[in-house]
Amino acid sequence: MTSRKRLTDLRGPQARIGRLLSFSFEAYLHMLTNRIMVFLSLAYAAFIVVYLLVPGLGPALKGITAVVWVLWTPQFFEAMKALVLVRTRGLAFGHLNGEFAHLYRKRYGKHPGPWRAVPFIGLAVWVAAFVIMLARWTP
Amino acid sequence: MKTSPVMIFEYAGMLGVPALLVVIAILSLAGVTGALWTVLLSLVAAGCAVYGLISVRQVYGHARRKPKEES
Repeated sequence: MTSRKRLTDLRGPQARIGRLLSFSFEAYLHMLTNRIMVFLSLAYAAFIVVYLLVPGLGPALKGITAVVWVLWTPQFFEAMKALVLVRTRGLAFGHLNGEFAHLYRKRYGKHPGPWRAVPFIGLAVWVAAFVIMLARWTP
Repeated sequence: MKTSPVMIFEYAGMLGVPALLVVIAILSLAGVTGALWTVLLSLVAAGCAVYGLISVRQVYGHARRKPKEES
């Protein structure tokens, strides 16, 4: 018997990322920028190699770095959230029901409070570094 | 999305490249140039290439691959 994992659910096929827009703008933004970054990251890698070989491409590298930086923001932020979610067993940024979350805290003695701040601290560093890059970086 | 063992490298790129870019920004405050600069940019390029290639596989290849026949 042949079985095929269906990449679809009640919200529609998973390949259609626009379905996310109706219930999670954050998830939609993450997937939209992911789809762009899939190709842009390869182009950026190639451009860095060209920059290292051909002189005079500094301003162009700075420009494309700024674009990559902005589009990478949701990837970076969501990856940090995912790691915190795993670290706190779903208590931070998860959608556990109240009773289950209470039992989890009781079982593992874990409070997600400080962990919730980690992605936002990372994001603050990321934005500050972006401003520094724009102001001071002269490749 | 289907998971895959190589996705760990995708996540490494997703966090590693931003970390390297932050280091580059901080070093630009100190005016660092030369070999260190080249090494850092090469690492960024390598991270982007790995992230991009695995993402292409995840988004356009792996998820659409036909499963093995079950006997």
